[in-house]
Amino acid sequence: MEPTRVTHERVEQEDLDTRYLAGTLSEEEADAFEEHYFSCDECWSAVQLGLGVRAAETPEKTYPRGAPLQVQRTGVAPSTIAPRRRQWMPVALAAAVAIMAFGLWQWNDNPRMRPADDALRGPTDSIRAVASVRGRALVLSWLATAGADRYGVRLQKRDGTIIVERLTADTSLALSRDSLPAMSESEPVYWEVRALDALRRTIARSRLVPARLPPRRR
Amino acid sequence: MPSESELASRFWDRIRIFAARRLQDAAIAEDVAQETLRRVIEAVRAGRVENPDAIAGFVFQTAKHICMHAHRSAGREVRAMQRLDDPDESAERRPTALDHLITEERRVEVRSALEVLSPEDRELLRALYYEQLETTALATRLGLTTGALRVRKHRALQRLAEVLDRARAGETLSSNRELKR
Repeated sequence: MEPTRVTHERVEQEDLDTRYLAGTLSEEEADAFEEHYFSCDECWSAVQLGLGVRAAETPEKTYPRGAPLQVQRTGVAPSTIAPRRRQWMPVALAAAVAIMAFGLWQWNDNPRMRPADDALRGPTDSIRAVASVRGRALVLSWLATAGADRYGVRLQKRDGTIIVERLTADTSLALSRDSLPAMSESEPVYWEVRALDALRRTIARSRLVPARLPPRRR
Repeated sequence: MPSESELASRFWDRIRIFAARRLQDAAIAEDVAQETLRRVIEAVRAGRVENPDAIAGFVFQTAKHICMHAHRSAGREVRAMQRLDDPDESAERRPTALDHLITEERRVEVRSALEVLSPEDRELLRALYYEQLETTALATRLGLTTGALRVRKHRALQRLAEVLDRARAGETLSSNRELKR
């Protein structure tokens, strides 16, 4: 395929959407398709649906989990790193030190680009949030943050899997237990709320707030 | 020109998927989305984007530029750590950062919606997106021409989207009723 000028017809004729998700397009082809789906709602919808089907059909045991290190960073549940992974920690730590040294050198080269630090994600534990259960609804309430335009709220499993993600202008969010995926009531879940300004920058975020699921309707 | 909230809701997930594929890290992809929208909205406010039709291209180019820088600092790190982390998981389809962006809620929604579709539609979508069969191979398996297969795929996706929309509308209603009790 000629990488430039992707049109909707071309996506259909050359199955670019399915090949994109399968990872079989060349970098130039994928790049051109991405540029196309930024402006084509139909192709964007096909990408979203395809990703959803892939996730839905993936067996539970192989379903990819989130990033447990995120949980560890806030100090709530450091034991979420699987034992097998711990064996690699000394090697990983040494590699991380070397990589960080290289990364710092790179950052000095380009100090404006620091994508993964608190400057973008907001300082942790700067929003006070409280989890509760009302009837069969799981509720998170938090104090308003000055300058916040809206709040991004996540409910996550201990292993980092995001169960639900919502955007709200309120300072509380209630989720009906029956609307949540089937999960054991004994499985701990964690809320996280981030305050976003009008430009969608994270200006503050809560620590991970542990919660227990209320029982489902029998 | 679209409003700032329209820009955010239209492009947020597009940028996240785009960045996650390039950087193989869902968290950094989110940072890229934030930074991209910040720059785009500032440019719109400053009147540097005047043509509404050009906004999608401008968002794409901005995201691409930010990804290129992020790739240098963070991407290599992430991939190196992933290789150390999962030395023996090459036998199965390796999950990508794109998979990490799908919430459990969405996964369950789509699974329920697939159960409503006909077995033919479901098998077709499974073969294309989970088994990741090439269109020609799948057409051969099903005894169809590639053209006929594409039409069936298009219709199956349409039906899936309709079922999901209906489920989402019904769920919102029942959820509201539940919370009012």
